[in-house]
Amino acid sequence: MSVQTIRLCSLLLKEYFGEIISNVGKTVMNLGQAPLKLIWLESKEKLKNCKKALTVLIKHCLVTIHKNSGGLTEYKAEPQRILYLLRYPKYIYIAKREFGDFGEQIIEEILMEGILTADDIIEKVYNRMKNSSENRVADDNFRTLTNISEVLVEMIKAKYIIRACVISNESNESIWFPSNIEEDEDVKDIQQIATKFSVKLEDNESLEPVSKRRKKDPVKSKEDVYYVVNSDQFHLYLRDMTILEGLKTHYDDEKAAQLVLVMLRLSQAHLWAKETVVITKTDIVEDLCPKVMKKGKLPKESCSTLFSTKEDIEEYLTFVIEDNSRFVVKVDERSGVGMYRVNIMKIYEELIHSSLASIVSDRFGSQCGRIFRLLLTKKYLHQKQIEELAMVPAKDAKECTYNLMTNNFIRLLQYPKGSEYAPAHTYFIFNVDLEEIVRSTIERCYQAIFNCIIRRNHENEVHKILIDRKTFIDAVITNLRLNSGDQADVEPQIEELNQSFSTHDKELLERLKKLSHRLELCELQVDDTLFLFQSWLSISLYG
Amino acid sequence: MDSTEGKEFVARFLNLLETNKNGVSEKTLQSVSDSVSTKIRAECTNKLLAGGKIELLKKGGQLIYKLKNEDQRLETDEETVIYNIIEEAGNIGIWMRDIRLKSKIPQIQLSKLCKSMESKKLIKSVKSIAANKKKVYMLYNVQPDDSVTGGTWYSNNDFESEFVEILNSQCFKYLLRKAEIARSYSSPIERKKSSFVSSYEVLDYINETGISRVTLSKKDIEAILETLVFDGKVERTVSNDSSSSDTSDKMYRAINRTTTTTSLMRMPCGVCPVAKDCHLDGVISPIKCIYFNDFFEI
Repeated sequence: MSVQTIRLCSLLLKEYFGEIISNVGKTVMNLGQAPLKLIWLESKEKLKNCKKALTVLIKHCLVTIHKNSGGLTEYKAEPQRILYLLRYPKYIYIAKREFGDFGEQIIEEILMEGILTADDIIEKVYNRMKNSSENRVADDNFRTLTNISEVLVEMIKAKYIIRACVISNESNESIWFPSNIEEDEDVKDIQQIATKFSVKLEDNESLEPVSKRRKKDPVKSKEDVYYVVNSDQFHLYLRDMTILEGLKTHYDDEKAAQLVLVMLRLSQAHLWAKETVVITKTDIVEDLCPKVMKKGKLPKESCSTLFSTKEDIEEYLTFVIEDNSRFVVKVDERSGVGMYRVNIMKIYEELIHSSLASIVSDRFGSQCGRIFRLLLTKKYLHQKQIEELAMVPAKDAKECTYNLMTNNFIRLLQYPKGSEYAPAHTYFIFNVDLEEIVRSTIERCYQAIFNCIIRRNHENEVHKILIDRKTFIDAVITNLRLNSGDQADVEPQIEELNQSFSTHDKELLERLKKLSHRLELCELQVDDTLFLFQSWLSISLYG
Repeated sequence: MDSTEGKEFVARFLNLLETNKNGVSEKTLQSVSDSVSTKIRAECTNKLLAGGKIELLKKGGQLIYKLKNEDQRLETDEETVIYNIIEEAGNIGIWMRDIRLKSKIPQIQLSKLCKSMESKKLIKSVKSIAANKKKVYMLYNVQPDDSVTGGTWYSNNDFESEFVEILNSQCFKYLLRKAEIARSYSSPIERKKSSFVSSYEVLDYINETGISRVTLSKKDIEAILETLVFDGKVERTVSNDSSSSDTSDKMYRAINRTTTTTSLMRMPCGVCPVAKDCHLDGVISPIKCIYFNDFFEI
């Protein structure tokens, strides 16, 4: 955990949870792993606040509990998970794309609370829908509820949401962790919740005390079944998207990239897999155009939109295999059916290489970019060889290697001929240490995101009075519009209120809006880079 | 001198000079070679003179040709020694210091001798690209090695980076045009195959355009194409076309870069040169950052 990481993490905690939690979180990160008392003393917060903060952090999976050998409970921060806070907007976007509006709201609710029971999820989402669509007559409560629960079940089945196990230990403290154990019972439970909840709603309408009714409730959901967002599944989605984007430009062909994506999905490779399992051509064809397989020739419109015929798929398969990059390889051929494998590591390596080369070219110029790429392909080179192969004048080449070396993009290795390191009798060889650069670039990303947030907050802080005034006046205007029946009567008043901003103020507000929008975009974009680099590291370490 | 007639004349002429050590007058020469036209005779004589094989002397208002023999050219023993050492070095050449070490002739005398030999066109000095001020000596009629002159890409000891850059961009343009044409194919395999261009084709194109004053070899153009590969703009493969006679023909093709710009580079922090010193309460801080200010203005 670097200083930069802690700094960014505590800033993120402050953004999402506020000052106290950020302070406690920072203390835990600094201490590494510590008991409550130490955290309390170090953070200088009130004990009560400290406890509360830790609870929130634990609920969001950002701090974990361990028991040391002395039987003392210790808290440990998970900075990697704290950094996932950055990706929450992406999770919500993915949920919306895959599961629609309900999916989006379910994910939003769970992310807000950390862990939730199925009851709570449905209740919260329902209330939200009701509040937002007040004008619409909430006529069909039951259907909305079943819809929500259906989406929830779907998401659980797709593993975007998973169960959190709560385990009570002897001292009656609950420890929970995400679990993969999927019980059919759970699914049934959720389906029943919708029914139950609508019953409850009717109860409310009949003004009967809820507590009284509840006791009579025939179906009672398990209280300790909590659900959490499974970030791994979202990362899998992000990984596929990253690969798709990269391949699209690499193959310069949409269909080829989609084909590889289908192979990835089919193989269900786990997040840190270096390569997929072997997939047969039959599987691919079946997945892409199922009807072709079953009935032989069929009219084209019944097939998937991308690949019309089996021959088409075969052609593209040959295309991706014959590609120089060898992202997809043919492993074997059994009884005329080809078996294929996608090499995820290779794809990632290519992506990392090209992003690093683009970083180098952008920072030090195209000549350095050429030399850097040269070193990436040829691995170990003398200064002289670099000059000759890159066809750069000796003086420029020396400047480039010096620049790259001082900025730690390449390293200089010394191999003495004898026992002493006399310069005349030593080989000086340049080389690229990929892992080191990736790590330092990740640090750079942390710094960039940190700076973005700081600057955004600063700009908002400086113009706080103006922004507050704007929100206040906007609220007044909306109120006026809502409460008065006569539009013509209100218009002059609104006009007057708008006049209270000078042209300068308006320009400033416009600029602020543009600026914070741009910085937010930057945060998300830098996170893309961060994701790519972190995944590469994880794959090469754990894959 | 190239024609059989010329060759015959040269042989007869040299023979004549051999027998008459004191020289042959123009008249005698004319009488001996009546059959040869004046034009050929003049050409051959000039070539022999330029090559340093014969010399032209004036004797009492009359021109005489005389054979210039090696013994005569190497006047002293020292010169012979130096000559042999330099001859040994071949087309790589030899450094003054190494001659001194080998011949054991003192520095001052050696440089004098070298100078005189140079003026007699026995040896020549060539500037080496390896070290700017290092001169190497080699025999007068020897073509210096590429390692001394640097090959095609050097003129007067300077690397012609502009020439290389122009060739680089021209080659890329050519490949790009090919790739554009290939885009019209619907089949991906066809599209790819037709966008590949062999180094021969590129070479022909470049030689045709006349960008280069010297004729480039296949090796030269491949070196240029390699730089495009390292620029990430071009992909290389080896042709395995069985119909072509040359099996190891290198093929090149213009490609898209896998990522255009890394998203980190789209904001000021990516390219910031002072990021190392950037701290919240430092002189350089994100709050006061001028790069951010510029970034917002865009």
